[in-house]
Amino acid sequence: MSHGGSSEYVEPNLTPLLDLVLQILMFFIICANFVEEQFSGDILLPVASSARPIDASEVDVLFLNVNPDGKVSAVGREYPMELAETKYYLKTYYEDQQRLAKDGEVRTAVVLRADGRVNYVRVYDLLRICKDQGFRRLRLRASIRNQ
Amino acid sequence: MSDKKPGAASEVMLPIAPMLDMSFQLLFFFILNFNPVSVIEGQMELSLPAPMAVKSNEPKVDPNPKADKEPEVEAELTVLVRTQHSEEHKGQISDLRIQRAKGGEMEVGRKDLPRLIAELQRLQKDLTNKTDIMVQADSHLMWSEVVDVMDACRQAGFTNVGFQPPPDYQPGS
Repeated sequence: MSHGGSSEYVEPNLTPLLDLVLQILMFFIICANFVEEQFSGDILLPVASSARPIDASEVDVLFLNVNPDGKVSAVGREYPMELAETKYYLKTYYEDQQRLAKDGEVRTAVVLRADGRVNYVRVYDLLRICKDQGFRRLRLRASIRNQ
Repeated sequence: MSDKKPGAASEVMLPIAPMLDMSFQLLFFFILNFNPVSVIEGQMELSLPAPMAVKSNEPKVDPNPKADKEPEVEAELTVLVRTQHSEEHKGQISDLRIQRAKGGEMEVGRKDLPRLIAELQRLQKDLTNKTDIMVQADSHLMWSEVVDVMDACRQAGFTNVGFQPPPDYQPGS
């Protein structure tokens, strides 16, 4: 049945919808991570039940991603590095941080994201290089196993 | 002069629809870039590798001599992790042993991690250093298998797990 042509303009109330969308938007903005080199998606992390949630207050960190071939990706490097190149990269990075630090002490924590399929010797090489260059704080990333 | 009657409430209408459009666009952008890595990822603190057991021809130059004063891990137990070189089980654990610093080895078996935890807990009672332990793995062992052993050590109560060089270790090989 027709309503006889009476045009009544009905506008839906969009304010609650906008509120909801803005809240969801806020969640995604807070969780956003734009530095994709830090978290290489190709890496399949090992699983560990003793892994603890990441301490977000730690800001002075250097991410090293070890891919299944044993090559190392780091922020600012377009291509994965071989061992010798990684050694040079870490040496340069350490010296830069030493110059920037007021007391000359480097507090950078090296965060190692190694693929679970890589050979142990590659990870050990990397740990040894980090130690030789002077880094003292190391963090090992793993997927948290639900118990 | 205004036509409005004095005291009449004037209602200001904000254009909600364009704001909602913009919010949806922003929301879509952030959903596309969302990476929930921090939710599923955790971390463990690492001990530095033990001093090199393999003799090197290169002269030892330490860029940070001050750090030498820091105590190294002095573990009384070492977990030896071995792998097979056959293609079928390459990179997987084939043998697990616990080695005492005072001498003697104990066979745990092939990737029997619950037994490893139980044995470590039993041995821990007689140790002076109850927090430190070393892991020595074969070079071709998969990193995930090493992390499993490291995880077992931490579950057994050893909070400071260090790594020893593989038995056939050649730097940069």
